[in-house]
Amino acid sequence: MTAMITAKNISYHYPDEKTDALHQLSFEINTGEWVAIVGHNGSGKSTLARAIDGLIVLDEGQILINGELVEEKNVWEIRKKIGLVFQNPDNQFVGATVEDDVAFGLENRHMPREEMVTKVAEALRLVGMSEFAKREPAALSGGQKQRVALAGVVAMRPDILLLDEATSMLDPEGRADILALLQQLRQQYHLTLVSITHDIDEAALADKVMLINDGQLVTNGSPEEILNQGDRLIKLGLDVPYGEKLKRALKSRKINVPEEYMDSSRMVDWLWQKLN
Amino acid sequence: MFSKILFGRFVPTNSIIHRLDPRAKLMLSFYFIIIIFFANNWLSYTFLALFTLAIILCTRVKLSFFWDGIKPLIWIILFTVILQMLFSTGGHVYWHWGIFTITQFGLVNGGYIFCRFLLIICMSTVLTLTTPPLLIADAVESLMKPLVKIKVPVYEIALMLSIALRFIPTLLDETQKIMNAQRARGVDFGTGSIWKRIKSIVPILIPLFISAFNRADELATAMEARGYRGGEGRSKFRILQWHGKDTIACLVMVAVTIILVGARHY
Repeated sequence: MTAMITAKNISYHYPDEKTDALHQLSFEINTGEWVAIVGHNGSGKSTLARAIDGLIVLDEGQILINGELVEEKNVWEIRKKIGLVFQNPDNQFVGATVEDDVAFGLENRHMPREEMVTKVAEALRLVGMSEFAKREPAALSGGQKQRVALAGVVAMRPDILLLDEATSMLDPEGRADILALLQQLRQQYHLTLVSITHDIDEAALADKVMLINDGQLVTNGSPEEILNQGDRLIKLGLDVPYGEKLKRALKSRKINVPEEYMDSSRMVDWLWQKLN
Repeated sequence: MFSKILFGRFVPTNSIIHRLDPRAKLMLSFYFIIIIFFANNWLSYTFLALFTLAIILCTRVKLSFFWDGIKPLIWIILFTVILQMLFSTGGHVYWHWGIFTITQFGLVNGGYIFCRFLLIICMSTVLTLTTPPLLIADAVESLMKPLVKIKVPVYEIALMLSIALRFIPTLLDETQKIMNAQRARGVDFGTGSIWKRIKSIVPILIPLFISAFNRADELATAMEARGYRGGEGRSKFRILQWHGKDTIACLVMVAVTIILVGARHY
């Protein structure tokens, strides 16, 4: 396994804030991994996404993408490797129609038109928005706009897909669709996936979870390890997954439950065994 | 409240006029508006009116849409026509009272002005009803391209135009939302003295401006993240194509000009 994203002691400070948005943060994300970054509002998650893409200039520390240092002179080359999808779908929709928006990034790379047409159609098919190609953004729902934003990034075939709460506006069904699509893309194109979220259930699907608080890395590990720490999650302003909630409710009624982390399906299995 | 905004009210009927290249439509409608001022007698005006009517029928858009275009301007038209009639001098005097006179020339000039207004509004309505705003923006970019040589930032202007057009519905939506939110908190729009009404606009404008700044900031970040480094040297996804029918439309306009010049000297 090689490291795709490496951060070494990075710090960043917004001009008019008292505390650092990122403080001496270090981590490593391997190639092909799906990492979920969780933390409450204002914990520095979005700043981290911008730092990885070179959109902000760090006060201290270094970020390396695939061994290359992110700095002024190669930032555009590095951005080609990273697809970044933001939270608010309305404010990242550049194009006048769906297909224009998907083509925007390709236009910036001087791709010839014939190639663009096939790439755009393919990306729209992947996210299930083909029939909306000619629509204007005003005619789309929030979830549909988020799909378009994802298509715009997928069309550019990045090595790293960075999602800054990009599924926040989707309904549960739409979110499940997109998460399944991300899994599929990851296998197909050997993507490194970094999703920033406060949705604990989404984090539970990742290979690794990084818990961030006040710009510092609190802990990282497998979802089982992190999501088991119910009290700690609650203390940091996060929710606990459904299985954990059920476990707590059972515990408070004096029923003995195993200590290790269980998702809903394992909880169901355990309950069956217990009752039989 | 905002459904009555005429700009960008595109009616898709897929007529021959709809399928013309937007550059051709933009140039020709501008050209037509200019040559309207060359008409100088009833014969030439009748000819131009018939031509405009033919174009309107070609668009296959309901006539009521054109009436919607004229309606808000009707008072300005009538006001100008009446002023022209009352203050023109020359020719036979029909009526006279103080500084007001109605003369033969006055009546004729008033009639001409009425025709000009009507023709200009109809022709520009034909353009906006048959061309999506997006294509008009493309046409403007394409027609401005020669200005790149004299250092006009054509690509940037085109991008701004296209983003502005794309955000019009979004911002209208937001305005409506802010208004409703302020109404829910007891702000009363549309009653009271002028001063009170102006003051009640402030709680709409300030949030709208702040949100527009935030939007611009986020949009710029998203554009940068997707590799936008300025207009120069980008390839283009959407391209306009000049067909045979566009050339024919230009030839029709040349014929109209020739007939108009003929009618002028009749």
